[in-house]
Amino acid sequence: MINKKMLVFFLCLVFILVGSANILAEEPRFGGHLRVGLQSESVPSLDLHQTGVTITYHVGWHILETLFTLDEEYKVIPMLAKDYEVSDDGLKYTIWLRENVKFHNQSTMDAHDVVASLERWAALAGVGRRTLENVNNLTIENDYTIVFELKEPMGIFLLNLAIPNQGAYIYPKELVEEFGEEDMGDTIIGTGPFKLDEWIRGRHIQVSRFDDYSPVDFDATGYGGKKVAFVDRITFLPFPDSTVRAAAVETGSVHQADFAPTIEYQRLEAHPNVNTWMAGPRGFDALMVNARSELLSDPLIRQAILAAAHAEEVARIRYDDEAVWSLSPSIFPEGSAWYSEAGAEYYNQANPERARELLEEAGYDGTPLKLMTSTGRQEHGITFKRQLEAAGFVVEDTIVEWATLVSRRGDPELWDLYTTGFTWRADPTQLAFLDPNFAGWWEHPRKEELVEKMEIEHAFEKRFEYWEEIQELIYEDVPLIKLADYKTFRISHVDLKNYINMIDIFFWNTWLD
Amino acid sequence: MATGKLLYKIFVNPRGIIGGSILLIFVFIAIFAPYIATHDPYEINAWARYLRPDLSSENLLGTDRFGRDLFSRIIYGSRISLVVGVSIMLTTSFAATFLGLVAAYYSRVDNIIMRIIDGMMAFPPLVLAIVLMAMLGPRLSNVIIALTISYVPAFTRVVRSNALSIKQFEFVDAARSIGLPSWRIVLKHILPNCWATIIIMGSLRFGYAVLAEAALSFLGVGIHPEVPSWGTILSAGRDVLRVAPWVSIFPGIAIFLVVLAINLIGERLRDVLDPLTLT
Amino acid sequence: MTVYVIRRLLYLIPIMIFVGTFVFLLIHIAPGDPTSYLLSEEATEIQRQAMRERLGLDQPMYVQYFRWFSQLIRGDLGESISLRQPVSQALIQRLEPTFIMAILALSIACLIGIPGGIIAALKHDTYIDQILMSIAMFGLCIPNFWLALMLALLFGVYLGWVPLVGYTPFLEDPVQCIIYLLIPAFVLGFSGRSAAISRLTRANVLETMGKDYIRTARSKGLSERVVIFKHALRNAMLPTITVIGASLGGLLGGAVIVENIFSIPGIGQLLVASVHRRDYPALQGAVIFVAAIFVLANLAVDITYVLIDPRIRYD
Repeated sequence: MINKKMLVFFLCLVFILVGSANILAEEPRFGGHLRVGLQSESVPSLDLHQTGVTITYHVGWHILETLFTLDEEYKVIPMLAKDYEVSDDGLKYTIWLRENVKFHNQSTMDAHDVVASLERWAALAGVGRRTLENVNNLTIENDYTIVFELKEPMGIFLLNLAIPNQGAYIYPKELVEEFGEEDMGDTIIGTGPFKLDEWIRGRHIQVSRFDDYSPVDFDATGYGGKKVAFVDRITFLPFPDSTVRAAAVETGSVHQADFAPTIEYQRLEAHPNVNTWMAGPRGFDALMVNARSELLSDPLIRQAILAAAHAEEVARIRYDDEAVWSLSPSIFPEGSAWYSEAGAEYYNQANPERARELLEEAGYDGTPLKLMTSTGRQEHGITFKRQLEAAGFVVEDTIVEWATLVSRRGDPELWDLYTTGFTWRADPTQLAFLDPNFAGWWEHPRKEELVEKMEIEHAFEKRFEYWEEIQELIYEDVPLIKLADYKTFRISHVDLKNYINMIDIFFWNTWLD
Repeated sequence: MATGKLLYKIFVNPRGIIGGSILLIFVFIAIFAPYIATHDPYEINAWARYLRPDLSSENLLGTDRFGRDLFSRIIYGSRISLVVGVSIMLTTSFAATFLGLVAAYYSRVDNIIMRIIDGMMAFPPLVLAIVLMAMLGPRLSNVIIALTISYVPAFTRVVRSNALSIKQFEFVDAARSIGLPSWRIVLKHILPNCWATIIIMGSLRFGYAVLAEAALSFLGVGIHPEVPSWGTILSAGRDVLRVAPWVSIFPGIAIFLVVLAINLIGERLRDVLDPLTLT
Repeated sequence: MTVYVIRRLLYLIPIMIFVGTFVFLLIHIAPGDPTSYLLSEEATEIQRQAMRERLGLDQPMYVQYFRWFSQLIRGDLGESISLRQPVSQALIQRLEPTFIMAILALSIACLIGIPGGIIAALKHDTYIDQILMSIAMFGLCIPNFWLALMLALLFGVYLGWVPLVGYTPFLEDPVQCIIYLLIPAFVLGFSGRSAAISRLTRANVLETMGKDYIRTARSKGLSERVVIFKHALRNAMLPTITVIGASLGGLLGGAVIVENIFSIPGIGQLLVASVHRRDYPALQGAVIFVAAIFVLANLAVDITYVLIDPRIRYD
């Protein structure tokens, strides 16, 4: 008994100590050298107009900034823009820029830099092209005011200027003129709280505090608000192996690592040096359905596949720990404004009997269903194959390297289904599979109509209505099969303070103890 | 030497008996796998993942990431590993012996063969196999093709160098001087003296092949990962070494035993066939 | 001899061209291209095509080949697509761990293999011979892949003596660097290599001991020491040298597995990553680089041949 009491006393003491330590840690501290473990040695570019690969902006957006960004609820807020105004017909956007914002080369950002950057963005990035194609006139009213005149109203106009992946980052005009569409390599100059010191390819990328950074005047929220570079330097180091990455955080040789091994979740959570974070849901796993496949042209067969899908089984095998995945029929995760249960009865049916009935009705003749999986998602492919076979399908599955899958998915003759995943987007219109050009080639007159309406519409209620109908269509027409939502498991060393866990990682406003 | 007498000589010996019995057991296992296995090696159970080995339970050697029964997978895996090992041993031995002897004896083709071999050998075998697999795609037959192409050059070189050193012996000169046709000299005088090398190298290839199959799986260019082979099982073990070491332990033991058996037999073969060691 | 060496060095050129062309063909025929790792998973074919054009991958293969080849002739291996750095620079960065590991592994293999083989031969048919040959047999049969995992399990997980996987650059912390490389190098040196060396050494020593000239030497009344070291070993070492030379290729191949198991950022890891990423210039460069090392090693072996065995002449 005494032991138990002692234990309780001890625990209380520990809690008090930990509590007070936390209070102490609330005091921000300047200085220090922050080290971050990257999930790959390949950082294709820091020129963020060039590519949307996650790792590029996780590093690059410490250096570069956009006109708008997203707050903690993933809503659009101004960043380099001071304010904006939309005309009543939704066709005219006036954007006022913040004054006295310095680039790392000491020049001051103005409307000319912004317009040059936006034009480059439109030339290089898909979202940029779609956004500026809808702009009739882009005029510089004065050094700090630009006006967009749109062809048609565009509800997601500001959002497109705010997204982080392959977003509308602002460079000095001289730099844009010097490089044109070429990659800027390590001549990256932006307005961010950190500036690029050195980029030794394959070794590390180092940024340091930009002393003349001019933050916005409202509190930090999400990816925006007042940014402060507390640490002197950040070094991004490649640790391609997740076990090594996790070990590096345990021993303190790096302070943070993304995509930690989910199989070690329990152990890392109990580790005294490690804080664990679950970010997201970051996205969901899916099976893309080939709309141009002869076999799958029969909607009954597509429904049969949907009926056979057992998302929970796939998720359990894929994600090791229940903390990582969740089941939801909604394309957008719970908590998102776009969450909807439209079509829920079709989700995760795990009903091979029903699938069999549908197949019989369709007169399925045993033509093999070609299932294509990349090595990185083999758990999906293998598990789903078993599910399809249990439902009476004949499955011909291949597991290939990612590069092979990407080149094969472009040819509709080579596959019927492939395993993939989609990351969470701020707006439904940005979902890749809604684009009829995306491998899978989903075309549906009603869908096209709804997407168009969504792009034009401003009012959220209306847009949500359209979206619910699209989601319903996704379950009726089966252009893809949604599996489970997944979170990103990331870990940080206890020395890293005020880490803000959003979907994407950033290290302004955090400090080291 | 009559085959019966040869087999008698090889296997009536402690090493021969041990090697032979282990191999026989695995051949037996491979043939009767469906009767020995306790489960369907492909059957998934998402609610029984990474079960510990427990001889009193249903899953003797535990389960893997998919909740598949490891015992059954290893039993079935003997089929793939034996097929890979035997095929590659035979294809490489045959090709390398042929090329090596031809190169050693006919100096005119020697240059051509050796230049190509030099070029091919500039690739570490596994690297060549990886690139070939990236091109060919993940199939068992492709693994055999890729590994054969990768292993033949080095093997050929050794056979050739062995044959070259034999070529310098007086008895070859003698045979030539009495006017024997060159193919007879090669077959009757040089080849028999190369058996030792060929058998040692050949039996090594068996082990290499079983191992390389695992390595290719690990590097993401092996056979289809759902197919139970010791390689695919083992390659899935690395990331869960801390959580589920048994996934790595058991298939490795199986590989070790088979390679041991093959090597013991290879050694006996060498002792019996190699006239130099006999005398 | 000098002429021979020069000729062999010149011979490196066609070999490198062969190697480069062969790997160029294989990897370009392989399905997929580098854009899959440069663009996000959700990129459309249109974006992919645009990226291909920017990288010049839309041009016919022979155009790409000649562009690469003309660079190569000028000694330029090109620029890695995924790493955004010159291939030569990427290779130099990754040479250190591979080099240290190979040296360690080869030393371990020879230190175990050669004395083991000689002792076993001299103590032929005694229990020492049997023990040594059993160890060799063990080393020969144990899959290096598995041995690596088991040692990592024992020393990394259960005993916790060494970090499970990873690497520290030598200049940063030499001791830590060697600690990281010790198990990988042991695995590479012991399994297969040391066993092959000791078995071959033993077989050859035994073989030469039975030769006429050894008998002659003995009958001349030379001491056993002189017979063994001056006559028997010298001749017995010849095939052993081939095996050590050939080991280098196997070693580099083994390094590919071991570097990937232990996550060591060496040439082997670059090779595999470049295959997966279809980083054509990096892969071609890495293979040519490895090939050059290997051919030079073979040359060294052949020269040693001549030095050891006066019967062989290259004129």
